[in-house]
Amino acid sequence: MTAKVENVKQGKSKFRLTLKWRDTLQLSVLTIPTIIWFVIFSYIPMFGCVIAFKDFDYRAGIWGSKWCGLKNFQYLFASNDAGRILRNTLFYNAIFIILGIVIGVICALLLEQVKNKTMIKTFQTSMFLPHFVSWVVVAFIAQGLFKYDSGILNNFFVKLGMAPKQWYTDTKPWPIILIFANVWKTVGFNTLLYYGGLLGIDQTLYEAAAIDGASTMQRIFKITIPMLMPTITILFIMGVGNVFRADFGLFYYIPNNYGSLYSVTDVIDTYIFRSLKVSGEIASSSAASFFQSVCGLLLVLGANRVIRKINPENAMF
Amino acid sequence: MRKKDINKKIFVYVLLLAVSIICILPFMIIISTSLTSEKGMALNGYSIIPHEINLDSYRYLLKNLNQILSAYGMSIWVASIGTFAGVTIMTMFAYAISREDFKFRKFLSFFAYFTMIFSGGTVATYMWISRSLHLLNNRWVLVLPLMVSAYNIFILRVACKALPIEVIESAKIDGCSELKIFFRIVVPLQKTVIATISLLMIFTYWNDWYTSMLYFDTADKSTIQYYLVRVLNSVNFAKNNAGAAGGAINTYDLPSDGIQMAICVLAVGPMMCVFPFFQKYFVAGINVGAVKG
Repeated sequence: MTAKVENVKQGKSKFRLTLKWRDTLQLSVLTIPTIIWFVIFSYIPMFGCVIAFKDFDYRAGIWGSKWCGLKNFQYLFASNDAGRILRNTLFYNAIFIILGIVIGVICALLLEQVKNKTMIKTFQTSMFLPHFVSWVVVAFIAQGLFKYDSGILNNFFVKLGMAPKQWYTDTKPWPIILIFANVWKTVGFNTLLYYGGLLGIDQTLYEAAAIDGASTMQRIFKITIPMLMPTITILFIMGVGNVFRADFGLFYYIPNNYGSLYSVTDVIDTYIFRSLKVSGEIASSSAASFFQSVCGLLLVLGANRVIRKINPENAMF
Repeated sequence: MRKKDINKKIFVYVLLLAVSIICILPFMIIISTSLTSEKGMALNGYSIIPHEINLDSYRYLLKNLNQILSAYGMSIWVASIGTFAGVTIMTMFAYAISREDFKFRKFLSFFAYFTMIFSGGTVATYMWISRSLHLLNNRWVLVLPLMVSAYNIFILRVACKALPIEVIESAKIDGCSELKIFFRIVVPLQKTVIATISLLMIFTYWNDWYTSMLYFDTADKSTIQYYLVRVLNSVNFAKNNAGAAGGAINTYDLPSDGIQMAICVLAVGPMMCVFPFFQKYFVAGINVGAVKG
């Protein structure tokens, strides 16, 4: 028995050195379908983003259209839309990142205090539920809340003796509504993320802290948060990398694409969609789309570099 | 137990209960509206707790079952083909790049990783798929673009890395080829993670409406989610134009609020029923650390 194990172990080192070309070939064969997929659905569109520098002609396609330099970008940034969509996208995403981390960590800490298994599962399941419905379904819920004549909020206002509100023409409540909707949909997922991290923390650290007389708050800020830092950082980098990418469903369907609300609800993704599918303005949508992709890439690299300087262990690459 | 501890416990439970209720309550609007008759809607409007239990909306849908059934069929077709094909090729890829002795491991990992941080953007992808691949209104366009994700590949890779190398090597000593090792040994050993990824993908496909919205403009071959999108769009269109036409628009063809919500229940229902049983798989699927290294 031991001899056999010994053999296998020797075999291991041998194989490492002499993976035959036939084996390499077979392993390569396994990767081919996915490589083809990546080429067709990721890499060719990457080159296709040169469309932003072209005067797109439907008959000529991406490759056949004429180059036009930075004209599309000039067109985009000369319009009033550019400032609006940039401001909204960055504003909402910054808030979503911060709230995602803060509320996720808080709920995870709360959940960790619960010891009853059934209760843990009940809380988890109910908080996770919104994650599993699409924004379209949420849009129907939003209608139920905001409709002028029959919506729940206006019904409530009327019962209190207040005048019903035209929700879809007043821009003021919408930042709050959108932020709330986002938190509502992501809270379960974020909580689970950090809860998983919490369970991985070595319990002896807490015991030692308790012996030293550390208070709950001290334990949270001196042990829990530092131990969660790797998870928080990765999510932060990912969040920063996606800061130019807005959740289309949220911004398109919750405000029901009402033009009167664009000043606070229009983001890059809804703008691209409208220009592409509704008004057919390829110039501005391709410029916005290219801008979005390149900024995303630069931000991920930048954020990662900064974090590498602070603490190389937390960096993503 | 000390009094302080009990207070702390109450505090924790109350807060978590509040969050949970806020998360669930909106779904009650869907359910209670779907159970309200048109008369009841006119009288009370939307509500969280149903004023009545009226099955008119469901009866109506039962009478007009064809559309719903074909939408269900389409969703099931897309989800099953896409998940099966996607999981198969991703597992193959992930296993290969998890092998430390595979020559192209580093290059291919980066090849997959790069797609996570850079993409051609919506417009280039749309033009490529619609103009060059001619996939507009083709049912495969719902399957193909969502089939592979680098994130899932990395989760699979972590699981494959955990395989003891001795297992693979003893198989090789016995004369197994690499392909045979993969299909006979690796796949059966990785059942759990494969199930996890499959579930994540089924949910992604089931809830996907964006792809349909981009690449479809016909009503046939719509999935259940796209069916909902079409209902929503027609309702909004009627509402936006009602003012312009002086309220004279014909709203007769539009599904009533109750029917809209009943369709929502049918779209969400199957997932909500199975989800609690598979929750542990989702928890296993959330592994951000997988991306590293």
